Amino acid sequence: MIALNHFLCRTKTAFGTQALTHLPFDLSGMNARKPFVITDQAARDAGVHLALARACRDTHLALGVVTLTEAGDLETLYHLFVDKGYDSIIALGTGQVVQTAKALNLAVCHGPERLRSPAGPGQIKGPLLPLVYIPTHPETGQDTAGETFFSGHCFVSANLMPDIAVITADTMLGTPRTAVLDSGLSSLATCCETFAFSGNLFARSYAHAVICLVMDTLLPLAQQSDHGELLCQKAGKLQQLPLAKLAHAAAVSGYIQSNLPDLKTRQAGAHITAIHPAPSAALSSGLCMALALVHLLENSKDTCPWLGKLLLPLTDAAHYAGVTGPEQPDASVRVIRELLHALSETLPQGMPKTLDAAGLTSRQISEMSDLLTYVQP
Amino acid sequence: MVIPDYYEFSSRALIMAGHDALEQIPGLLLSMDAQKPMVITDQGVRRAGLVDILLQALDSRITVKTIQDDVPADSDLKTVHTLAGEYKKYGCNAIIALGGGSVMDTAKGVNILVSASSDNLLAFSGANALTHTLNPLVAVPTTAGTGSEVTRVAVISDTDNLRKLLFTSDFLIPDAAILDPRMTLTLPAPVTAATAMDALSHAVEACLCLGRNPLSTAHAHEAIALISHNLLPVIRQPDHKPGRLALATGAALAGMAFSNSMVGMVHTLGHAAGSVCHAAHGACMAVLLPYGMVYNLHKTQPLLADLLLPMAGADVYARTQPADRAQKAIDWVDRMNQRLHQATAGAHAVCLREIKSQDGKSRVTGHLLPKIAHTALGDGSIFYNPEDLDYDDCLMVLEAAFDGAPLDPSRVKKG
Amino acid sequence: MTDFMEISPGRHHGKRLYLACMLWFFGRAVQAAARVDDGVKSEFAAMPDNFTFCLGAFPSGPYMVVGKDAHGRVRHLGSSLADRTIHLHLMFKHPALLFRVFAFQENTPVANARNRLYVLGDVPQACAVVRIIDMVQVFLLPRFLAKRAVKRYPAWPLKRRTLIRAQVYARAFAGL
Repeated sequence: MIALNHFLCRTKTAFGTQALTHLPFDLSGMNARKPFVITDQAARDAGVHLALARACRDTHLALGVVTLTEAGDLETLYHLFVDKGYDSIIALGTGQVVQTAKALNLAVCHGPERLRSPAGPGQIKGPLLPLVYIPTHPETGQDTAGETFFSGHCFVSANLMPDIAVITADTMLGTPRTAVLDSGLSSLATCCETFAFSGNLFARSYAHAVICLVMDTLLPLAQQSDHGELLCQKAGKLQQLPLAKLAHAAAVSGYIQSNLPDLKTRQAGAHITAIHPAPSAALSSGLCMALALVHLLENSKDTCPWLGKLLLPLTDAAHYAGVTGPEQPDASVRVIRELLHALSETLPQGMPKTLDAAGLTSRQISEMSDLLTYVQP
Repeated sequence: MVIPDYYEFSSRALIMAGHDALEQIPGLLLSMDAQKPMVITDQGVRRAGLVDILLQALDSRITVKTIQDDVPADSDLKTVHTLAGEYKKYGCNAIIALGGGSVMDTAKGVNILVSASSDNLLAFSGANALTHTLNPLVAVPTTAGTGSEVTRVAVISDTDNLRKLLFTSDFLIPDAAILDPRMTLTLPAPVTAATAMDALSHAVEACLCLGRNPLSTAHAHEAIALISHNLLPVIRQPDHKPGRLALATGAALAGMAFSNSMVGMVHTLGHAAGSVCHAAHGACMAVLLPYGMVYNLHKTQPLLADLLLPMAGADVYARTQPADRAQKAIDWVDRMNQRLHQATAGAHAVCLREIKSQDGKSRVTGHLLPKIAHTALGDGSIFYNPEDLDYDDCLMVLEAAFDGAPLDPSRVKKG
Repeated sequence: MTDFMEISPGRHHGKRLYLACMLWFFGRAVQAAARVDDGVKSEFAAMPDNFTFCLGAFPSGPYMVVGKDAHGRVRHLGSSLADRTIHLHLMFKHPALLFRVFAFQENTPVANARNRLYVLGDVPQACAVVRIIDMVQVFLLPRFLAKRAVKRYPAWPLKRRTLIRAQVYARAFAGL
């Protein structure tokens, strides 16, 4: 065990049927009586805000709902929030919605000028207002992490993690298949690396649950639609629950990212996306992370402390126990490779299954060797 | 993976686990603007020199205003009110709770009063009666068992009215849990065994009971593996620091698990035995755990079978037929109790009759079993148990556990 | 530019009316069972006189209020909390969650395990109230529904299943 392990997750995860109806009670427990809902046009068009409004029926909560139509209108939000006396924030959406909600929270509690310069860990003191996160798509863990990016600045604080993440099929919207893969593979890479390399048992426990969720959900979801993308405004009933499970996995992988900021697969994903000549849509960050994960695991078989045990969350207890100890590391990598292969089969154009096949030169790969090899501390 | 229709998971304590974790406390308190803590502990912890180790780890930036070491073995209302008065008298702005479950629960009670500027703890009893963030509370457990350092629960006795008050709220989760093996190095072997079995019972019940969910199960499985791999080695070599840290980590993981999934009949009966006979909680848990597993076997067989892997390891799991794995997990707990009994020269009880007070007398006597069964019906954990229990069921299990006799699964009523 | 709208909470009148009716009848059935059934009687006997509890939904009902008067007589006290001291609140976190239980979509133990309930008051008394609710559900519901509503369907003697049940129904309708 490593000398000192930290773990902090400020967020309560609420997942499942009727999750939204718990929200009025939970908000009252935080003394929040007037929530300010930030959402985006897609969620608004699909009427997801009305699902939230229905959950507030028969309660005391009146909602202010604002729909983001363009970036950079934080000042308008700030004045609306302050002038109308709101006391809490609900981010109904993903990505920009959540980043804006976190930035608004900072602006309201520390003044708008706080957003003019970045803040590292420990620089944002004191509690923020209650922040509830209700995703409408699976994302990549950024939403629940204790950080936000605004106007080119990065703000890091555990207090930026949402107080509650409410994840339910009721709010899931149709999601492009590439985004589904991006989310699932990103969560899988984050959590496999955590499970295989980190001595932080708290992070590993969360990672275990995420890997099981992704392995149960990602491939069947990707296989559900024969023709292209899930681009409908509202996901079909069959897709909503697995989408919610992937969103759940992504939310928990965000908790892990907050605690383990130096994960190699994340850095590798960002690096590859930056140097790759193709547009990012063709090679998502999640896929880059998964490809980097395979390299990382292959390169570190002899030094990776728990690679064999990774087979357990990747498969199940019976399969894991049926493979002998020395064979488990190879079996773990094989399961991930097989998943990538099966996912590739679901795409008409396929997808790369190695970094070479993704178009990276051997020189580019060797230049990032430190991100693809684990060195024991 | 079976996912419940709805579940919640929350574990808001910052956990710091490591061989020098205590040294993190000053920075932590400063980050919360809490330089004037009160230390709440008990006399046993003080005599063991743990307060001195804690004070050495604090630096000049922190001024400990007062050290209160009068917490009784069962946290009670009067102590909570007295300590809240001391907190205000000394102008403290944080609490460091250094001790076992009773100290943690007392500290949580004190924190409710001082944070709400109230003098009536009863006003906050029940579930979710708190609506405000409390003052900073840093929990430093000195046993590896209760998991109170990460839980949202406090149980405080109202001795005047002969009842136990239950407080549950996310606001009760301490701000930080500091797991440092120096705090458990001097624990006697029987206490180490009983508290670790307490943690094991948290983890097992977290996997079996109605509130189970994927996150609590993942935490619980990790806890079971840590406890099963480290308990006997630590009993044999008490100063084994990595083993001690592993047990402390296991207890915290089990605490995180059961705080979210809640616990069932093992705790129902154990709380009642503790309340009626003042039997040590950990010892009751160790004895009752296999009985709870057998009682619920018909409703939890696949879940129990899954427990064999973290308990006994991959080889045993693979060698055991799928249909036999659940029973094998129960047998493993039985055998662990027997091994602990041997390793502690008989001090670790394997039946209720063997749970002794410090003067060597049996805590639980046969004629008290009906009263324990009756008291158990008033414990909230009964509703989380997979199978229902009435008075006769409780008595049946207690009678078997009293003598260490096997519980016949065919006698369990299955509506 | 951002698009802003305010939504007031509103009420779900249909569900509230259904719940109010169910709770009204259920409260009368609790009162009836407390008069004729030994199991329910003994649970109430352990409660202090002048003890009142309510079952309802956060934040503003509907509620069912049941109390034991100074003479130990159990009475259904209607649906209003006004001007009453309630010693024990057994509350669902939202009317929709209470509705799920009364529409037999989810039973009480499961709702409890899913953190949909909270209790304000003494836990042993709350346990007794839950047992009373279970017994009354078994009296009122046909077996196939009651099996979904309680954790373990009890093996009651014939008299309790027939005669006492009939008395509970008759008294609940008559308000006795």
